[in-house]
Amino acid sequence: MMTKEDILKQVQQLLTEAFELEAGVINLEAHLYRDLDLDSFDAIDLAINMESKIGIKLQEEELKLIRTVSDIVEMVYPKFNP
Amino acid sequence: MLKKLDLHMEWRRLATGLCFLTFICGGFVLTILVLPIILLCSSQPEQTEGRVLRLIRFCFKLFMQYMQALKPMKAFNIEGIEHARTLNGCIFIANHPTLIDVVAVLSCLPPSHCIVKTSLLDHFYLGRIMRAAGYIANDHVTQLLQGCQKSLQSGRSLLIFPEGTRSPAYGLHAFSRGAAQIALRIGAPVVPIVITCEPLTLLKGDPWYAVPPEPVTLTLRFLPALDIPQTITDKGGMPLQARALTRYFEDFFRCQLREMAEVSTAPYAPSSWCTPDPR
Repeated sequence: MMTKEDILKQVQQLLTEAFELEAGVINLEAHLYRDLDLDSFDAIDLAINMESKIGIKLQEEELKLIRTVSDIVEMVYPKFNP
Repeated sequence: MLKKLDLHMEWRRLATGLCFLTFICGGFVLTILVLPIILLCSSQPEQTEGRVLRLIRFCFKLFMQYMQALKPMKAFNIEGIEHARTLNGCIFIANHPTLIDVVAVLSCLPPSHCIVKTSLLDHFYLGRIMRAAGYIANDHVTQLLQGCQKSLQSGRSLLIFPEGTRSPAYGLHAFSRGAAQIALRIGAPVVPIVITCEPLTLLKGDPWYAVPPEPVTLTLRFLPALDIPQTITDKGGMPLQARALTRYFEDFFRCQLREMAEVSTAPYAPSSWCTPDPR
């Protein structure tokens, strides 16, 4: 059982390690492109990291819908808790 | 009291207007007359592409001479062009101080693809030429990478303005990471082109009739392909490498512009320029 807080923690860790970000700026409302300065190339690596570190494979259509950290958490949560 | 009319300047204002008009009409004629002929006479898309790219280069060469003949431009200097000629399939990155520099760069590069905003490819007539030339849209990342890979593998080069828009007066915008991402993911030599324009003209938002006090001297300085430092390629993961390489490119351009300013009289160098960004 994974709670949304657990997922947020993992996502925070992933983002700080892979994208040179400070943990403090990664809150649920943070917009990946506007606030966290990711670009569309980084989205490819976000998907790769999600798969290798959290074990969740995101489809390309799902990736396109992601805008904020909260979007990631909401998308991952049902996959852990079907 | 009336200000004394500077006839030279008024002539350059008129000539600048003529240049714009020529560019617009020339583009229109190319689209409705020349492009259909090329399309009819070419059997393969690659053949069309090559012909359109050579046509663009030829027309831009003429246009550079036209601007010098009409006098809004005093001189057009090209330095180190051999760095562009000896390489096939490289990525040219340039700063973008003025509207004219795109024309200037494309007039002397070997036929190269530009990466452009998708909205430009949808321009009602210039878009057709750019599509026929095989220019690459920047909106869809997978297609963008495929397009770049195809160009580079076929020996064509890419031209990227990492600032994404025209530079601010005597400065640089922060570089976007596209050029670094493409260079790292596809693996091609990166050749910098440092562009200066004295006096400045046609910055973003400048109206065409706001001509500078003197005719313009445009200088393109091609430099040897950049070696990507191992400290960058050693970093784990593409995002970290791309961030570091982008900073490296940006610092390189800031230092080059500052060096060029030291031998010129133009105010190209606020003192903060060579200090690395605290990113």
